[in-house]
Amino acid sequence: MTPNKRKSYQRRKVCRFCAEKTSLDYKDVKLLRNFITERGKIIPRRISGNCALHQRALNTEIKRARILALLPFSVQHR
Amino acid sequence: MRVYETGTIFNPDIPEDKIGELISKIEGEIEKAGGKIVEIDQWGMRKLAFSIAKHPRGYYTFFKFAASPSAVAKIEYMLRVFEDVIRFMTIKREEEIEEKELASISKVLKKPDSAPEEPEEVITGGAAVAEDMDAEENDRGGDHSPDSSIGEEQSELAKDEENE
Repeated sequence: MTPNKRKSYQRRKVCRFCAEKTSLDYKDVKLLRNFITERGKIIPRRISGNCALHQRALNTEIKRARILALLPFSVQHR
Repeated sequence: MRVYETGTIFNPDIPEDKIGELISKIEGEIEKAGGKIVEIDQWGMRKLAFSIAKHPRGYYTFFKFAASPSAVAKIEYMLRVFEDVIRFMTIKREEEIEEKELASISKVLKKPDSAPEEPEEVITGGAAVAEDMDAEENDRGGDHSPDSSIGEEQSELAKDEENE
């Protein structure tokens, strides 16, 4: 087979927000937590599978939530 | 008129009866600046994601109001003066709202729940990926379990890193 592993599996590449029509809000911490890593970094689009429009909106909301200390800017590990 | 929302965090050390006082004071200031309160949402005491001014917790209150853009500057200035407001942020909710529509909206007051919302101790990132690129690089040796989607994403990531 081809050495390119990427073709060996199917990946869901559908934007969650396009599919479900959920609105984004900085106060919805539970939802936003799905899109940050344990260290508090925003998960890139190529991994989360979001479309450009929604990733941008998500970006804004996460950053708003950070200002109000709803989400961390970074998480320190020992 | 535009609809704005201001999130505020109060000093957690102020007594509870003072919180109501502070909220009505801010409410009064918003109205004085020419705003109309649409909703006041009290979340109550909550753990902060990081400490602000050495406070690990804070009392969250959100004020939704309709006002002109110039009123926001006044309101923000006023909030800066209040020492018990340790953090605030104003965002625009709606670009344009008709006066008529506004008149029909009555003020909504939301009280904090009996059990205040606490962020989970362990952050369950839906995809805890992208975290330790080095670690991924190390276990990228070959035997990836193809049925774990996280593993797939990681190997994808590692490949992307390689390509760049």
